[in-house]
Amino acid sequence: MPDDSAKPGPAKPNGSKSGPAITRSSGANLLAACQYEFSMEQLDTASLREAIYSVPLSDSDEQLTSILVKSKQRDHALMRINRALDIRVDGSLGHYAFALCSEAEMRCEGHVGNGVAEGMSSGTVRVRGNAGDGAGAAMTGGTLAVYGSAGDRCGGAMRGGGVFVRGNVGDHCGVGALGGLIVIGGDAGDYLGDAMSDVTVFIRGKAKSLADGVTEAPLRKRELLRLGLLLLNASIRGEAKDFRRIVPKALLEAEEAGRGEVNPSWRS
Amino acid sequence: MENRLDSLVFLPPEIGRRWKGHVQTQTPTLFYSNPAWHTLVPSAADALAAAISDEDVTISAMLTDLSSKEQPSNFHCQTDGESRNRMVPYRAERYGISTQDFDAASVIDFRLTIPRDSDGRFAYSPSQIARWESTPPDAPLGGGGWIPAASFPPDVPSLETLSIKIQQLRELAPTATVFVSMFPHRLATELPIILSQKPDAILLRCDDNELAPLRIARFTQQARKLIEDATNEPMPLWIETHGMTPTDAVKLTHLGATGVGIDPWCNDLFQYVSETLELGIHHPPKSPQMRSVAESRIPAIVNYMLSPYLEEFRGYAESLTGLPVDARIAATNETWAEALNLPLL
Repeated sequence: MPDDSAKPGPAKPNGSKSGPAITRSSGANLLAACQYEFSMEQLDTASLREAIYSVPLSDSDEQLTSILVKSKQRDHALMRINRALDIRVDGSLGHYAFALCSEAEMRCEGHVGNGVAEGMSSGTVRVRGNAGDGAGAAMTGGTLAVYGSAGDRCGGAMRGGGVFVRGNVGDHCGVGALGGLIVIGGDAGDYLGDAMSDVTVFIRGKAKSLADGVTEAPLRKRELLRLGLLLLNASIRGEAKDFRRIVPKALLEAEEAGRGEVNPSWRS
Repeated sequence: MENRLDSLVFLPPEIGRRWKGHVQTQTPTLFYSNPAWHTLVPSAADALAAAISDEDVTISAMLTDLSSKEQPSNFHCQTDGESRNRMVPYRAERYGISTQDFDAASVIDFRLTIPRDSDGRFAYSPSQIARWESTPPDAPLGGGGWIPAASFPPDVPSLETLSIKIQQLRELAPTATVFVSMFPHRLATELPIILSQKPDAILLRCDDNELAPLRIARFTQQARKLIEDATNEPMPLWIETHGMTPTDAVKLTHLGATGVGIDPWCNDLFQYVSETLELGIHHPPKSPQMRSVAESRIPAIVNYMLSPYLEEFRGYAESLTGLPVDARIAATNETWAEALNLPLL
């Protein structure tokens, strides 16, 4: 994969006659508003990334340059996009979509496979459909929102950022996560929160089982407020009070002893 | 360090064999697999990595191992165009890894192995996590205790679907060889499945000190046979061991390894840099000037302490290549000869 600083020649905006891979955006609704359009039918993974990197960035922080990607269900698509761009994909993607991305606002209108947004460090990834196993694995920052359901080990080994799943998650959600936040709008499978550290899980439905070492804890006022804002931000319907909080037992004990945020060495 | 494979001996050329002078050889790769970078101050770790790498050793290090917020890594971010051989330890949890690690990497070490901490549990120490995640001492991640290590990547459903992950790593680091590293204990069942997932190479971690030398030799030979059975092309096989000497390492290359870990040869070096040069986390330099002076001595010390091992390894490795394969090494006892199918001396 080329160095992020590599900047191929600029792509042409919609409406220009620049070649078969770039065409005028003609989709309806959100997808219609994109300034650039690329087709995965005509570009392989590396060429697509190069094309995206050729698009000039917007001068405005509020209005990012927008790109529509006509999808073909391909693995390893749109990995390591580290640019402030608004990228929308009109269908489903395969495994490791949006892995190791940062800064970008990404949206996928279909489903994704395993490892979506794996290793992501900032920005946003929104998936309209379902995600496979390991969604948001090893994330260090940013937000992953899945509007369908996610598979096993969702948020596994994450070190920061937030994962929001409107539907259900599979087994071992949050396994080995060191930091961050996981919000589950539906139910969870077995061993929720296994080997989890500085992570808070909010769940609205039921967990089939909690892992050893984690427990359910009451939602405090500041968490109600925080969760409410996060739900709004991730466009997940519902009220914060409908959720319950899952945390490591040791963390809860430290909280109850008044040490929680005063002494971060709560395992010691 | 004692010769653990001393039941195997190098054979001299038979009498009457034509004299040969300099032999053009392709010396097996040497790699440093598990340096305890977190025990040194980051700038010293960086200088040490560069100095060992300059001895033509492939170094395993992440950017977070060798840098801090204040001090970038020179080893990692070379600008002179000549990149060093760098190996990315891609652990199941990916703690500490960053996207820059993939740039110009020569090896991705995709680890399906689970590490032990100094007490033997499957875990990472708080100081390792602190180095990787750049957390201040008064705000440790994970509550300041040890962090359980993962046995398998969370984004891979099963061993049978590993190929998609391997392909992802190839896409992320197109210049690198993607190794899958594994323990040898269930070699016969696990290696064929891993090979069916088409990695570029295999790294066998025989660093468990409870593994007997004959067992390690046998694992090496078995792994090579399984690779040959599964693939038509020559595939690199690297071996990491516990406490092997340079001549032991050469013997392993005769049994099928194409690369050997040198971790045992670097132990004294690490201790020297940490304690004598006072560049350890627990013996930090007293001033930036003292640190700078101490770090400037590292290349000479590495050369002095490591070169004898490296030269011995390369010398013996070169001596083997001038001989027919079946006349290079023999066993001195029946058990070894039979187990490894080698001539008995």
